[in-house]
Amino acid sequence: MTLSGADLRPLRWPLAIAVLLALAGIGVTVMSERQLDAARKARDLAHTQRIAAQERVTKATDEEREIRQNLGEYQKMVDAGMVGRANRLDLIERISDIKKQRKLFEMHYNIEAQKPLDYAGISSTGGMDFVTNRMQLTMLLLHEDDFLGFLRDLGAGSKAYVSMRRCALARNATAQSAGASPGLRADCTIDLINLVETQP
Amino acid sequence: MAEKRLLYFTAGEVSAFRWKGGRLEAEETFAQREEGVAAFAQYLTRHSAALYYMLADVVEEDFATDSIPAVRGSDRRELLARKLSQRYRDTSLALTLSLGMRSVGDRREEQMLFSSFTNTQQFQPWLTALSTHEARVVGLYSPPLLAPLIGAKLGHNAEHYLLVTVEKAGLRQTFVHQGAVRFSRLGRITENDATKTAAACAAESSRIQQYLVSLRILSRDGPRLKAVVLAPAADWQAYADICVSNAQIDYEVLKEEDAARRCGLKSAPAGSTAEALFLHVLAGAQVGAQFAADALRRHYHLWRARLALLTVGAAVFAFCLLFSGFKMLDMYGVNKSADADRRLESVAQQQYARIQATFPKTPTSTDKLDAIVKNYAALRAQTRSPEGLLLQISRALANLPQIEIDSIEWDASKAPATAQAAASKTGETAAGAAASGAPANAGANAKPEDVRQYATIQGHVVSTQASDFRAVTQVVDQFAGALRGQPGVQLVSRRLPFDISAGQSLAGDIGAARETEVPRFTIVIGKQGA
Repeated sequence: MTLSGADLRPLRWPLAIAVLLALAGIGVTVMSERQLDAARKARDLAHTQRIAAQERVTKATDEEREIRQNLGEYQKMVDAGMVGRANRLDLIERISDIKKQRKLFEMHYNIEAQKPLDYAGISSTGGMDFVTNRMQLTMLLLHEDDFLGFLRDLGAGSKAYVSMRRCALARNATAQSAGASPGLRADCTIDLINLVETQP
Repeated sequence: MAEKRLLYFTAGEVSAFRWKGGRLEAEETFAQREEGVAAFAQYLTRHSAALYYMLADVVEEDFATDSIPAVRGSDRRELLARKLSQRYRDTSLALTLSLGMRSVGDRREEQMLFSSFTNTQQFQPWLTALSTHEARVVGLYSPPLLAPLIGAKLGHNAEHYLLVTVEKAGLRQTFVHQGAVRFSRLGRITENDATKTAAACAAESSRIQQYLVSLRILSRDGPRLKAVVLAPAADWQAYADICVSNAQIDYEVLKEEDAARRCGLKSAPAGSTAEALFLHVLAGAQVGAQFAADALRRHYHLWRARLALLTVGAAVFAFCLLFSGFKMLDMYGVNKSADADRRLESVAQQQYARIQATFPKTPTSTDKLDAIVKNYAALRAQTRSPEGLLLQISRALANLPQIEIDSIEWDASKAPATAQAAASKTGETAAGAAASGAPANAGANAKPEDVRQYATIQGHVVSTQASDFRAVTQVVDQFAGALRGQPGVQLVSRRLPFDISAGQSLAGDIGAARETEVPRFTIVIGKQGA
């Protein structure tokens, strides 16, 4: 039998119900599929977290050793006096002491405002970070040994980590040929680095 | 599922039956009069949701066999319609039934049975009532169409047999050939006497046998015609006594009740005869051939279409539910596995917390402490002192008294411009250039250990005239070579007071003009590491 247009009219509701049932079925299937996917993701996450937790337990001894090593390194920084804000008065006094001890000629310094250290490979920890007080130093020297000795003394006695960045050594044009006059002029850029607490 | 109702048409009345699970119940009987039709209409109103099977048991039913060419599709339909119209004046209740193919010479033919009710007027009031009430008419059937089914159920698989039944409408004899009805005849029973009816059975069967022989359907010398007689149980003995097998006919007299039981009829209305068996078989089997036109069966088809739609929808829904059920089952397993992992993770965390409690106290979190120490290591890795490089320059000068140094610019923060130019000329990668120059020391992505220190050495050559290009070049080259010979030192650039390369112009005075000029040079060296 061939259905006519008039025959389709009484089939509207059954057709609608059939479509609704099919859609509901598909909806239920899609929903269950999504729930299963979510459950699988949750299981994978739980699995990963369980493995990580168990690995943490396994590596606890290594972690303890690493913490002790890190504490040792940290203690070195503490011992070097570089933990905490730089005391500029101490620094100036230290330079003055070296000048006196080594009987150096005149020196000029300029310490810039403190700023975060931007060396390669150094990233912010969000708790304690390195900061630098950059110092421009001009010295008149008798010879090269005075310069090298000054650097060694500054590194040994400062309550900061000393990092030499740049230094220009040139013959002092105004040197007198006779007597103990400065034969060299040094213009240096030195970073005085400290570890300070920062806001996370 | 809709209820099945059966309408049994005879010349005098229409009886309505309800069939359910093999049980046949008589409901109402309507006389072949106007009042009967009106009562029938009310009956239809009361049972509008039922499926109606009509069984017409009337004398005016014609059977004819003919053959048609072996054609298919619309050609066959048109041919059969034409054959029916040629044979019957009114084809509103007619059917065709294929009896199989046969070959005649090279030609293939299809044997067809044509059948029609020759007096359709008697049905019209009833069919009109059915149409008006939108009754779901499954079809209009006659007992001969059901005879092969009954024969098969009773286990008769002979090539041909005669089914003799006594019904309310009369004595019916149906000839079944190769599992299909060939013709049927309904005779009247005038007297309510079993012996006379049995005698009529025997006489009519004998006549049919002779008729079949005359038509050459049966061979005169062939096997006897099997005649299956369904007799009422109470009259069985009378039938058995009269219907005795002879040379032409092999009788098998069965009790109607036994036959009904073998066909699965569990109960039938009291006083019913063989029509109950026909009605039961009709309700229980899918009979393909029937007489009603599509217009009469429209509401049945619509009901089937509705049912099919709902069934398909429900099947899809059920399948999806089943599929989702499996997914849920799978999810149950997945969740169980996740729970087990979470429990184990919790145990591991507790265990770790106990171990962690024994760790030494740190000034900040362990992660931050680790980061601080790593930063400190990076800081130390790129801390340079000029002392080493100055010492190496001094060693290089040891055997070159002609060289006097004017200035040394040491830089660990960025590469001098000449170094950057040299790096770009040699095609160093961006990372390499960064590692060797300013960007690296300015906090870019270079590794701390890649940071280099540079020294730009400016000096002059003494004891040699500036115009003596060869001597000046030789001394400066010796110095450069001595620098290169120092461990880790690389020559980045060398600039003479003149350019002797072929790519540049070279001018000079040979004589005393440049005697007082000092030949100055610049050498840039680099060193990786401390």
